[in-house]
Amino acid sequence: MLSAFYASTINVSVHAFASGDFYPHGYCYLWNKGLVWLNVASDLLIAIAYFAIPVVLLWFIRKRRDLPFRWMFVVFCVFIVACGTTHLMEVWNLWHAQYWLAGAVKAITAAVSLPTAFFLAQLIPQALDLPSNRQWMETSAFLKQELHEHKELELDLRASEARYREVTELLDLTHDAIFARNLRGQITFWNRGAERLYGWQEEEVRGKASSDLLETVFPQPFDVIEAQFLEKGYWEGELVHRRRDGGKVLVNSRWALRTDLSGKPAAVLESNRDVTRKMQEESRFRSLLEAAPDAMVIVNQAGVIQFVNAQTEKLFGYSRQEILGRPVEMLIPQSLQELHITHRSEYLALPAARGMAERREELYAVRKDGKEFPTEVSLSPIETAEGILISSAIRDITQRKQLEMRFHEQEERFRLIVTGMTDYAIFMLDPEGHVVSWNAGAQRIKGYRAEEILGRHFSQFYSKEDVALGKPTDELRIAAQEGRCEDEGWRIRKDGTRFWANAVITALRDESGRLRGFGKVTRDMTERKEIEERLEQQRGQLARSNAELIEINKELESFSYSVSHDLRAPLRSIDGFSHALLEDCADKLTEAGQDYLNRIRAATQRMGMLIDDLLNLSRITRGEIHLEDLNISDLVRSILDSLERMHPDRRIEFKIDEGLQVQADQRLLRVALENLLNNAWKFTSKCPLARIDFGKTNANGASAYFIRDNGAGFDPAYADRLFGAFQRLHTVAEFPGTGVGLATVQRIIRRHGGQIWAEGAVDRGATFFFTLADTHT
Amino acid sequence: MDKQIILLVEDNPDDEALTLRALSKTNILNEVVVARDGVEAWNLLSGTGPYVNHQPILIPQLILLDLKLPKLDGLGLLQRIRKNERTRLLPVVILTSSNEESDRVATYGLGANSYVRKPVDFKQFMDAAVQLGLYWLVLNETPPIGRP
Repeated sequence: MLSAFYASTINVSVHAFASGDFYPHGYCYLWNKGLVWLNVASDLLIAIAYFAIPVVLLWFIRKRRDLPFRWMFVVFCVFIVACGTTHLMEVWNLWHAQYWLAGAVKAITAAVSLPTAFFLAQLIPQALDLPSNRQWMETSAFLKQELHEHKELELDLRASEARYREVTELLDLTHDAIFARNLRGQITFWNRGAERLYGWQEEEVRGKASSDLLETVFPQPFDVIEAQFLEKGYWEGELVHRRRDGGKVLVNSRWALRTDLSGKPAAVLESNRDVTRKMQEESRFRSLLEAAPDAMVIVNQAGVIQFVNAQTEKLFGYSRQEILGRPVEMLIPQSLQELHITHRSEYLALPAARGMAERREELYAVRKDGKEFPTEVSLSPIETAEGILISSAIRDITQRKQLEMRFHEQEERFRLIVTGMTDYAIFMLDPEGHVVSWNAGAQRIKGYRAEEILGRHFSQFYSKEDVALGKPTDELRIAAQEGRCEDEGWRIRKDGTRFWANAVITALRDESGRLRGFGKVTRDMTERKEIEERLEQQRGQLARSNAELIEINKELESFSYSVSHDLRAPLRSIDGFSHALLEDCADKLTEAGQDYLNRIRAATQRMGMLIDDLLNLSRITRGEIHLEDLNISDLVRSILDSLERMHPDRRIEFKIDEGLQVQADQRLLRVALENLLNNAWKFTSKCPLARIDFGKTNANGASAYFIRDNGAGFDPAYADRLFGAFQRLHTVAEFPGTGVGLATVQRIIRRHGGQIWAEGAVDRGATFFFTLADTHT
Repeated sequence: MDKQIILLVEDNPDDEALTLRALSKTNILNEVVVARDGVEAWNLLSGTGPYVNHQPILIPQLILLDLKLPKLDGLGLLQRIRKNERTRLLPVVILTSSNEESDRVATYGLGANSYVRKPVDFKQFMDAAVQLGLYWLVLNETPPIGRP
């Protein structure tokens, strides 16, 4: 499509500008090569130049956008381009005869060039006005000069501005509130300190009267102050100002008068320092001092007391008024006063200002009543505007000193003990084991004198074998590890003899745990060893005796054993065959004979009983006794119950105290109670209304148990025979028994550590009392 | 078991005579075999020694055992009886004069079935024999003891 359009355009243009009948210009030149080319070249070159120039011009005006008449240049460019185009057409028409086109181009060129000329003509007057080069140069030079001066002025200005700012900044840096006012009191300068202190910004206060703004309260009438001020040129005093937020401040105010060149007062510079804080701090400081638990005394450089607190009054017994303003030496005992003065000046002479350290000293002080006492004083310097003050905190250390003295006394006493003790060798070793101290006991036991042994190694005291085994070093090591090492062994005296020693080495450490050495206490045990050996011997003997006794006991046991078997067997035979005789040969026996046989039988049976009782009795004494808590009432009841069961035909009344507890061997106690209760049962057999009581009572000041019956009783005249073995107070016909029962009971009670006794009367019953060693009360 | 046999192990001839007499007086019609020491008793029970060819081996219904015996004493015999598979179930009544606690402990410990003390009084002895007989031979069920 595009090519078609293009082609048609060409066509149109070709037709519009077709040569038709015209001859290209070359024909005019008769196609003279030289001529043709001369024209071509020239036209081409001109065209190039005519195209180039506008480019340059356009570039130029682009660069210098500030040029006047820029538009003129553009017009020129167009004009030149058009000219150039005509020349191009000349070249073209050498071959192509498109004269119409050429003419058109020329027409355009004319159209352009005429206005160009016109405008140019218009511009000429203006251009003429432009200053000539020389004029430009002069102007330029003049301007340069002016510029230079201007610059210098600026520098000056800036310098003074900087200075001004510096000063203002400095003024702003200061904590103090500084402001300037004219003679009418109006504020002309207000620094940052003033802003901070009073709360007003600079813009707000300019031009205002300061005394109104701040509601100044003067210490004296204002005109008085003013007169003073104008005369002297300065004034200083304390003022009260009101801040913006209404708070009041106390200021230390200094006024300076500024005069102008002729000497007339011009302005006032006021510099105020807020001292309310200072006053608050001062009062706080004062109250701190007052509250301090120590006596606080503040003196100035001359030693004059400036301040004391309540504690000081209490400690020294003076009232404040009596002390203030007086030299501090009044608190020091007379004899020490001069020394103190020297001390003070020395202290003050110490590296001045910085580095005046705190000091703590012990001094004797004296009270109002003349009593001297030891004190500890700590000093510290206070720097104030008025100079250096020394603050001292004084503490009464009487008590501490007493404690110290007591401690020293104790130490002294201890030392005496150690040195004086002769039974024990007490000495110290250094960490390597060399002897560093020695006491009298050590000398006595080991034989060395102090000067002979100090510094020597303690392995000296050990036998060669022990040293070879490394025993001394081992003991030190153990002591160091565990804190102590105890050992018993042979040691060698100075004269070479041996003795048996008990030695304890203790490691001594300081607060940081570092080993400082060892303490050793050695005891000569030879004597004790002998005692011990003797003890061993005795123990051996005891063991042997014991063994023997055990042997004897065993033999006794086997004896009873065989007794119970072997003695009874023949008895059985006797009885048995007697019985057999009675049965089988009854018809051959007379009455007497039968009677004899019966007696034989009775006798053997009795013997059997005796044997049994004897065996029981011996068994009682042999067995071990196992104590336990028993309810004796229950035991009594159970025995009585079984007696009832065995003899259901008997009617007995009992009364038993319940809940009685004892500590006894159950088996033995049972045997004893059985015996006693059996007796009670037996001896009440003839009673129609038998009664047996058991309980606890108080007898002979101690509590005892009793068994009472209302039976046959006994004649108290024979009371001492009651408990004898085989002793009887009745015949067998009256009451059966072997007479061993009570002996058994007594042995049992005795084994329990108790006592048994009886009270009774014939036919009026008997009461048996007994105690057991561990009765519960 | 046709006949009910009692084995009496007793060394004292008087005691033996009296025991037999007591037993007979109480109408206990069992045969009583007497061994006079522990070894003889064991030979009888186990079919060893002189009884090695004895048939059948003795299986008593009740063994009355005294403790004090020559050669092998009562405790030893009891131990053997209780150890042997064949005889361990046989009822053994210790019949002895001793009342020592140690004896009682030992015999019960070894597995005696009963412990009776021989009284001196013969009348009592006879009563004891009656009771023993009535109980062990009539009332008590014997353990099943098979023939070898």
